Amino acid sequence: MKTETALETVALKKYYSLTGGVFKRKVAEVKAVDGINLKIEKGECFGLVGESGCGKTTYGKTILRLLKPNSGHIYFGLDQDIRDEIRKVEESGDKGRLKKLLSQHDLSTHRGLRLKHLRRRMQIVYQDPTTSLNPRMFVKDIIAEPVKVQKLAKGDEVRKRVVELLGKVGLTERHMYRYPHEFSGGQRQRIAIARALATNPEFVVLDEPTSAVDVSVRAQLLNLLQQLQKEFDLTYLYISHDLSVVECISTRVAVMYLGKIVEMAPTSELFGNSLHPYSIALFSSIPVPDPFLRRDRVMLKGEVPSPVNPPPGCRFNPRCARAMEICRRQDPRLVDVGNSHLVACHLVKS
Amino acid sequence: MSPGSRFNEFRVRLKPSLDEFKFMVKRLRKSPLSMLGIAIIVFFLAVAFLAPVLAPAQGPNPFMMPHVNNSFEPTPRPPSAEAPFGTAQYQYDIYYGVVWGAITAFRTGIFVTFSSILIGLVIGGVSAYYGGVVDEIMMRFTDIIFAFPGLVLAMAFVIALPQNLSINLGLTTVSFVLSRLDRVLIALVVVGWSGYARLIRGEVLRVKTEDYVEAAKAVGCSDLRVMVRHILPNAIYPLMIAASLDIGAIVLSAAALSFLGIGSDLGYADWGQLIYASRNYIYNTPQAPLAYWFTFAVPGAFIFTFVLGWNLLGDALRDVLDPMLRRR
Amino acid sequence: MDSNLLDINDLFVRFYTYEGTVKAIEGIKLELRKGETLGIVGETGCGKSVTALSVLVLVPPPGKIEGGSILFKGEKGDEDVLKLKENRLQDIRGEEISMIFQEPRAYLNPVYTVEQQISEAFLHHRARQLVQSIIEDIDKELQSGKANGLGARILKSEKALYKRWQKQPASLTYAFARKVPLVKRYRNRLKKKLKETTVQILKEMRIPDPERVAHMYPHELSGGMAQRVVIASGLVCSPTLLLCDEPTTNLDVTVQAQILNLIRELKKEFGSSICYITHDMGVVAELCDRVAVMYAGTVCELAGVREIFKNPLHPYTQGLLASIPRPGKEFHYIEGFVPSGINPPPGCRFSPRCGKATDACGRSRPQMVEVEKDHFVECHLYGRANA
Repeated sequence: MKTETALETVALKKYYSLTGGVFKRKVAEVKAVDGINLKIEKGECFGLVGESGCGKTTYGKTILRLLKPNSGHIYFGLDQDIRDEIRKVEESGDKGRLKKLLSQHDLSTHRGLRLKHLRRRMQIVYQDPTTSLNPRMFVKDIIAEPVKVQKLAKGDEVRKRVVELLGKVGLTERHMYRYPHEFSGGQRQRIAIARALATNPEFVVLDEPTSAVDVSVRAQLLNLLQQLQKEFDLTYLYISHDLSVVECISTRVAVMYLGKIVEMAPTSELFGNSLHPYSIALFSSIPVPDPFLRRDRVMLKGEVPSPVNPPPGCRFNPRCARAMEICRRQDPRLVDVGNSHLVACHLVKS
Repeated sequence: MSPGSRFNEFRVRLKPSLDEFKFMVKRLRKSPLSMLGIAIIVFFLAVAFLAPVLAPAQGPNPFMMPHVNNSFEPTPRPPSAEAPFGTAQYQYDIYYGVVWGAITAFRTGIFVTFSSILIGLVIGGVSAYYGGVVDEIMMRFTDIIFAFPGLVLAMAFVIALPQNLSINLGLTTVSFVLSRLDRVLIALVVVGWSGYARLIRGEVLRVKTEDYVEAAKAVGCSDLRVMVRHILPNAIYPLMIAASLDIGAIVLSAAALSFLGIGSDLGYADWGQLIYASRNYIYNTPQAPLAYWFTFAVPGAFIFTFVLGWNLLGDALRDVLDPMLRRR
Repeated sequence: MDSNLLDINDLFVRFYTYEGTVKAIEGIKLELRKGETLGIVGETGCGKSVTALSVLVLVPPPGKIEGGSILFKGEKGDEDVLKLKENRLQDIRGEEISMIFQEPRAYLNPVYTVEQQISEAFLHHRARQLVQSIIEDIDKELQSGKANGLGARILKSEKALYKRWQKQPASLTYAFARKVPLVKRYRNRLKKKLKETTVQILKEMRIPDPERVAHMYPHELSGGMAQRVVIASGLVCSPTLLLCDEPTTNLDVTVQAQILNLIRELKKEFGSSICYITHDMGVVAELCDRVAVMYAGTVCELAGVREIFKNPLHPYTQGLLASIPRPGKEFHYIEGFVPSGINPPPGCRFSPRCGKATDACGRSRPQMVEVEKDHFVECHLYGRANA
């Protein structure tokens, strides 16, 4: 059985303009997401890791159209045939037909009501539950809002749906008429998850959902997320910088650096056999909760450069201990080295 | 749903608001100055409500002060049995004036503040929400308005605005009669909204970047819904504090305008008007300079206390809202 | 104990808030030995930050230290920090005990450069030595005879000003001299010395190009760099004890590895003892010699790091270690929620969530017992329960 693609992005780019001067002219561009090709299969939990400034949160928000991409295509839940057709039309060079097809199927061109309908199928859970819930709204209203806005139910039905969702995340009816600040961090995150599930989405972007909560609550939330994924047949994009969590929950992982994907593979393959120097350094930096184990650390020099002026060639070359001449000139492309393992590095030959 | 549980639902729904209210009251009780401010306002509210009882109207328009003993003598008379606070020039009853003046003061303060907030909300809110060119244009316009001297504009309005205003709405014609006081209030509104616009703009800019606003958009909320349901309720706190402080300031401005002679009509029950009415007697002769102290001291005391009450209330609100804001 | 640098006994800290009294720390006992790294682990609200702040008597209002003693073996021998006067405390803070915090940019004043902030700490504590060395430098210059008539006179007057400062740091003459345009040039020597010290300490923090960084403002620094600057200002006076309140929690993983490495090396160079607060068991395993596990204002377990990982005795410690995500295994978690500080559960604080709780656990609070050598636990399951 062919696995369906839940989401695919082609050459997705999102730049932020920095303005300066009296007339607020564009002074520089922050290349937050610089050409990402990614395919997320239905039902999987895709992990996206990287450090601060690498663009993973921007990517997550761009695919949901919370930000408008500068260029590239977003295909959400497309049948394989339509996707093939688009590819054929692209190759054939028929611009008119291509434009028509894209306006129908490419999420980056959608607007208004069409976009609103699509929003029902994809949702997001934010990192900080304190700021992602309106402090002046009751929990019931927070969860009911998606249902009402998307016109999925009316009147009493709405109330029933809210109670049902609260039950699914482990809260009760008693919690409906309370304000978010009366709950603990873990409970607030559950409310945020309930809100994300209110419209029965297929695809949920989880933007570091456990980093703002305590360690003991983290495990509870992860358990809950896994349960819900099975129960509702969801597809997750799990964005995080906490590598140990990603290792446990994801099926495939991609490593981002300065707006580009440097390595992508199934989880065990990536963590066990990382090939890109950045991934190697990243994974070796995780402190191991085992005092009897002494890990060989690969120390990176310097800090993550600003995405305003990425270095020429391979973006990682100034910090890479094994940089070669070609690394300074040419940006490597993602190549498949077998085992569904893709790497973008000149050191690795396919 | 059965009626019993519906009522229960209502009670449950109300509980958090009640809890917050109780918390507010507890905080307020701890500060004697706040209690004083609230007491003052309650006192004035009582005076305003009981005005027909405290000083029964003696004519078709209760806001026109009666002449004691129907005399029109220019010299004010000190407090006596007929006029507990004395009389102003032309024998206006000061007691009557300050009692009905309380109603005028409330009307003035609340109408001006309310209207200013409304206009400021719309302009500041839209400006902050959409940003860009819209923001620039609206804010520059606000800056221009901000630069207008309020008193001068008030004078101009009083003179320029017509007494009878008729707006033709096609099917009907709506007519207003604008008394001089109304014209003054409109002038104050026209100048006053700019401050609120700036305040609201700052708050909306802050709230706009919060996650829950983006989350609302992610769900598909329209701009209007996001603005009204999510942004405004969280941006409104500083506004409440500014508003209560402003009511006092507005009453002071109106009194100042009355004193300059461009306020309410002569004989209108307004505290500033009372002082204006006796302006020739404020400083009498060098031998007995304060002979007619009651003409300005009594209305002045009322103005002072009224403004003080609102200022204290504003401070109290700030103290109460601060921990609540921090809790969030 | 003789080798104890810090001895916390029976510490009580309460926060008097609008909603009630938060019992942040309820009678804890901790000891830090000379030259070791003690890790304090726990979740949000367990009181670990408050403990560190209590050592410096910097608990912010509405918090108050209500009882207990903190014995610190400083330059003047054993002192109870809680009984000291503010003067002596100010001498201790920065000089003998330093603290670094979680969000570096929040603890750097945005209107002062890096150099100004680091030298502020240094100037406060080492003024005497600085001025003395400046006077000696001036003497050397005078003796070398290179300066002629006017130059020598200027040097002599500078020396006089500095000597005056040595004797009476708060004198008015000195205060005046600081502001008068030409006269205040004498401070240039001081500034030069401070700059040298700053650059030196920045070099030791392995900051590249320290001269340039010294002139930067905090907002120009990246997270890792800012944290290094904060560590520099903490270590500039070579304190005996360094308190670290989750300094790497907000940093990226690679930067965290760099900073942890730096802390390890600096400990060897400066010989300080470290008290490291964190919620990350990985960091604890990497960095610490001994570990104290805190829960809801009490210390549950205190032992060496290997002992704690190999043989955790307290059910909470066991739960914490079990909830570390491991690939391929199910997620373990501890049922329930952290109790509110205003109404903590009676008896053992962990009893409502403990799988092995007995009746006694709900009634009385256990005492800390040394179950094995150097392994302390506060739990009714071990040792004598108090009646």
